[in-house]
Amino acid sequence: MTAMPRRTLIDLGVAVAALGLVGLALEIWTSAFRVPPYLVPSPSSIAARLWTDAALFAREAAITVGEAAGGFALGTSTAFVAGALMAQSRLLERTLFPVAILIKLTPIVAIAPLFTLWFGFGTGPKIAIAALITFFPMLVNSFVGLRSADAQELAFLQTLGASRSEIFRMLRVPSALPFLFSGARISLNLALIGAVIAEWTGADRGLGRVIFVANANLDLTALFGAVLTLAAIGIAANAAVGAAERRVLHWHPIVVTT
Amino acid sequence: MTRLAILVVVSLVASACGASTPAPSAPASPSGTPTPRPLEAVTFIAGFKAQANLPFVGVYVAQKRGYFREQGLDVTIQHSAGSGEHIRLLGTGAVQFSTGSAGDVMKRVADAGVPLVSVAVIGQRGEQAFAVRADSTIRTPKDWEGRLVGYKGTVSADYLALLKIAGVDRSKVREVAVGFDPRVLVLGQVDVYPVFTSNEPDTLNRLGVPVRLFEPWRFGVPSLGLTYITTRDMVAGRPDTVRGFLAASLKGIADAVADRDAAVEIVMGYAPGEDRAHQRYMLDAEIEAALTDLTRAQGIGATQRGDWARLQDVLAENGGLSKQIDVDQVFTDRFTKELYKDGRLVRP
Repeated sequence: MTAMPRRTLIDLGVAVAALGLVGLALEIWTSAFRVPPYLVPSPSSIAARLWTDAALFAREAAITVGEAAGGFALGTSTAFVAGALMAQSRLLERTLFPVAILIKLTPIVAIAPLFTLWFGFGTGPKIAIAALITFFPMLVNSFVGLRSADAQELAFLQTLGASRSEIFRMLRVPSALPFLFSGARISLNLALIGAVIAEWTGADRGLGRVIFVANANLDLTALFGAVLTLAAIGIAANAAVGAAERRVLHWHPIVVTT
Repeated sequence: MTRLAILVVVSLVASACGASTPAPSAPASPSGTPTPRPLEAVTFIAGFKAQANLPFVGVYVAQKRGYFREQGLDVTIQHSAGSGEHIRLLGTGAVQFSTGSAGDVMKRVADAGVPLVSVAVIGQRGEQAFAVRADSTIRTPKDWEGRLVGYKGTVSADYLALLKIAGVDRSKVREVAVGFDPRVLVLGQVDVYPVFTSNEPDTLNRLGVPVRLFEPWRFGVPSLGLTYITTRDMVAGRPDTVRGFLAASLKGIADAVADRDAAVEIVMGYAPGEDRAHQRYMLDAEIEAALTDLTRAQGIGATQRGDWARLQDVLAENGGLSKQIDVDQVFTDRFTKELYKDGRLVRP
């Protein structure tokens, strides 16, 4: 076993132990004070619900993950292109950044219903909302990362007569990779949240709909079951990005020192 | 102790909603007059944002005109965001009164075990209907077969009951979750859109799309509308408070029926930014739904057990309830019977 997986396992163990302690405290509290399940469900009742309805949660999670993945791919790729354009041109930077800020400051919940009008009832609006919410973090990370290339290395490549395209591929993108992975971590979780929000505004499938219906029915075991499923997906996605980052950036100080 | 523990958890929610239980206070009185008895502090949380739903209007008017104070009550008015938090706050005792449709009340009691009691039925029929464009070729529910029919959140029991009564083959109906934006009907993205009768029909009409409504109650589907709700503890332990709250609120409703413009003016004080004409439409529609032979004889808010029993049956038959309950646990007509005589409000 290498050092990295061992450390990861230790981190995981600590996290699980901490969550277990919180769960135990909640279990004792809800039981001792007979807290009504429509206010705070006991962890054991949530666990039981997750077990008995595992197939439902898995099925609905697959829908949400699909929408989030589509939104993540669309939003981050668009953001990377926009970030690259901004990094290349001050004019584009000044033009696109206010638009990006506007997108960032737009309350997604407020405009999400409009996406159904614009894109219909299918997965289109869900993917679009997930893309929109992932756009800004990846844009900023792309822009800053692509601008972070070492000045001396840049001057060296320029003296060798490297084209802008070659400089982009051989210097700017590698320099930006830590930023891109950082943006990806943030955007992945946001994509999941975006998909869930989109499902609240009109969907017949997905974890967002499970949460919406459970809340309407005061069915908090289903609600927290869906939330925990979502959290597990988010943790898994972050772990996947972390693993990819370690593999791709094994040479980089950010990986070597952590 | 249990309530205290629960309140610790929900205190953030309550404070976020602005819920409070101020200490009893006495109204100002001229010097030399006897000190009036301390007011009892209670909180009413409307089941949705401020608007001209008739039960909300009754409370707004009662507050504005001092009817609660006449009943010895110091009422704080809050509004729910519409995600069911008003029910939870009632369950914790953080608020004492709220609103909810009769079907929702029954569902909360049966499915979640919240100890709710409806104490006055304001809407005598269900508020949900199904709208088609006025120029649509859809004439009967049977015509929904082969069409795209929207639903909000979940497929409702009254929709399923309507399909059964009208002999609609549900397998031939294409159902889609449409959310809460009626413009999908304007754009033709659905053929049938679920509406609240006092709300979206007016909105759609303003968008240039007049609609025709299929109202389940007209097809014989048992239904009831918005009610005032409280908890079993309140009914059993503080009946005078419940009676006083209802006396003031029902007097507020009577005022609203008598002078609708004045009522809308008061509503606008709670709902700045809302469209006045739309609020008037809503108030008119809800007053129409509140006035029936029963309420003309026994007063607005009156109810009868048979309506609740039939409502339970239709909900149970169509997946709206997880189990049968004792309807006598869900509503009481004792307060309205005490407050009215020959259809006119009296204070015992």
